[in-house]
Amino acid sequence: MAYTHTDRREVRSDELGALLEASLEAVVGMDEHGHIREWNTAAEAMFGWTRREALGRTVAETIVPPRLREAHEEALSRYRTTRQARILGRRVAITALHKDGRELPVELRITPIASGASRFIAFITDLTEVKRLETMHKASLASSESQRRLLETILTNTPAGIALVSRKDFIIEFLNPAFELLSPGRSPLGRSALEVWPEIAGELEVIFRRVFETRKIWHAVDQKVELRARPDGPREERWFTFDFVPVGDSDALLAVATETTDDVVAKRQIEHLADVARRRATELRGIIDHMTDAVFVSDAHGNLTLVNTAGAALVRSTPEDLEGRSIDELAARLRPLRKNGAGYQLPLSLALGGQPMALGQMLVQDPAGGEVRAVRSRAAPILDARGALLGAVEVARDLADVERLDRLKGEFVRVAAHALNTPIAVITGYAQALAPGLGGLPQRQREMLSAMQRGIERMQQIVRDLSYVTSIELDNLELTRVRLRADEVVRSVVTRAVGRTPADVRIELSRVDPATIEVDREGLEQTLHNLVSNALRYANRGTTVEISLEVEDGAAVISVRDHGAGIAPERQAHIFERFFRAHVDTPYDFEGLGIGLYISREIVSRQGGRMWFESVEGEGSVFHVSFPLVEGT
Amino acid sequence: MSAVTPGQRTIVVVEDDPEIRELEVFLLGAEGYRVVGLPDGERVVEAVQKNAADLVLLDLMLPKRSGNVVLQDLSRDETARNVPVIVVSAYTRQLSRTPQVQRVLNKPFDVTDLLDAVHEALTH
Repeated sequence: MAYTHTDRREVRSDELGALLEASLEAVVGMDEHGHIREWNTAAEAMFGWTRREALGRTVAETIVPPRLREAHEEALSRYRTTRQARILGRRVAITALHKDGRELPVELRITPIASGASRFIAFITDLTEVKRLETMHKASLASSESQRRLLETILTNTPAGIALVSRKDFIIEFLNPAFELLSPGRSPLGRSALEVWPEIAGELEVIFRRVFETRKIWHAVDQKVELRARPDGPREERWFTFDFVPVGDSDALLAVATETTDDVVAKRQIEHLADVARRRATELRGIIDHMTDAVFVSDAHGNLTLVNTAGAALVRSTPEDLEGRSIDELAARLRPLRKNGAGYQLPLSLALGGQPMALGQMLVQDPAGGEVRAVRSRAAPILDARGALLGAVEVARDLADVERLDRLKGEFVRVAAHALNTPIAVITGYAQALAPGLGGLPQRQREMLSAMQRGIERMQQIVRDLSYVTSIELDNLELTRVRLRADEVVRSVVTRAVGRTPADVRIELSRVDPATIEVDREGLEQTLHNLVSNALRYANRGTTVEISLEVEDGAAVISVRDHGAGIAPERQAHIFERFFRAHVDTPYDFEGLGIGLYISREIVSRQGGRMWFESVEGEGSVFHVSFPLVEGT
Repeated sequence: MSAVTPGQRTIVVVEDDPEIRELEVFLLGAEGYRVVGLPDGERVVEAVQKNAADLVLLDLMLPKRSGNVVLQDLSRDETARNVPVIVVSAYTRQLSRTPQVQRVLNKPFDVTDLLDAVHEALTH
């Protein structure tokens, strides 16, 4: 079948042509064989083919996608036979083909030009834009749905209470489960907030009005709310922080409640602990400040963190002035007097250096008076639970008081001892005055008189010993060294002792070399008297106390040996100590003050002499005293 | 008893402690001496002159005039400077010795020592 261009022109009337051109729809005319007979401007724009190109081509090859062409041909062929087609007169959404191969969604309506005629006309609308909008709409619908679900999930599950309150009458338009917990009784939804929380209605109203008027967020921190965990449960105190946030054009506000109970409880606990700590610190400070001992505390870097009043007084300062200064500054202010020019390190410094227990004794010069005081101190590091160094503490004691007391005591004993001298002298004197007449006295009275004399002698000895001890302690023991014959002194002491030996103990001068030494006579007599008295006291019955003076290696060595108790080995190291009584709690405990040997050794050693002993428990002891011989003798 | 007959010998005892003074006076009196006791060091020279004393027993720690000052007083006096002195004191170290001092006895003294010393001082 072939049609000429002119043929087609003839078909088209002018009115129809204008109509077709004006149509916004693409208009495509087709004969019963599928050839294009009409193609308006809209069709040109829609499918990319010009009218000239399109006319004479088949519809199938021009605008039907290849996969639909077979169906198209079949329908056409069926129409030719049956003169019927389902498609006719209906709107059909279908896919069309553009010249560039792209497919486009279209809506199609086909009408036969005349009944029984073999021509059709198709009105085609491009649905591409519609489809796009439709897709967009669907997508947008889907996305807002998912957002809604998300929001719902969040609102339901968030621990924060969220409620929407309208401006009018403060109606609660929405609230999530968390907020519902804050509301007593029946659900607050749809009710006025002022009605739901009548106790705080006044405050709420003020807040709401303020938020709506100013359109600013209202923040209420840590508000206490009493809640029941269960409807019949006890009320418990909980804390919430409320944010009232204006929404949109302020016809509603969002109330957001965040529970802060844990924070508040924690904060309260911390405050309580801090309070306790503060109180303890104050107490401790009070105690430390009232201590008579000086206290210095340093941190690990050597800065003073605590100085008490007594400590500050040592350097004539105040705790406030010293705290924060370095321990070097403290050391400089203490002005410890140096021995042998060696640098003195404060025990505090030593403790900071890791010494577990630093002891020190220093002489401190008072910055104002120049007075020198003795201070004894001890320091220890302060460690944390893991043993890390936090600092160190030093406690120092001004020994002035201790020494003064000690001196006072010494002075008292000295005066007391001296005061005893006179009554003893009086008793002694009269007792001795009686002695020449002893022969005329009955035996019984002679014995009594003799006992009195022994008692008096003992008293005299005690007084003498006490005088010596206090003199030694007060450091005013006066020893007048004169040249004398030691052998003579030994003989005289022994002679005097012979009269007082206990029964069955003998004294024997085994060997006495002549020797001249330079010592205090009374001191030497006292020393020898002590040794001989001791020997007689601890000698076994029937034994002999042997006394000798031997010159050897330029020294006079006086020895007093007894055969008796001896001294227990564990006590030997202590026998020269003041008030040490070697035989206490033994059968040889004859009382006494425990000062004879202490005095003797002091007297001897202060004059360049030596004193020592050997002893075997149960066998006896030998005590030696040696003095250098005076040259030329 | 001593072989020497004391007879008219006179001793001045200077001792502030009344009991000690009494004891000394008693002991020496029992020995037959004439004894004059003084409680302080103020009128020692006078007493020595007045009583034509043969010996002075002198304490050192005395009220008003100490024993050492008394020794000076005695040494300045023509007659008194020839009288021997026995110092009896608990503080013998403080003694400023003068030629008159014959013996020094520690207080408390041994009676025998005291009597021997007195006897010796008077015989020489």
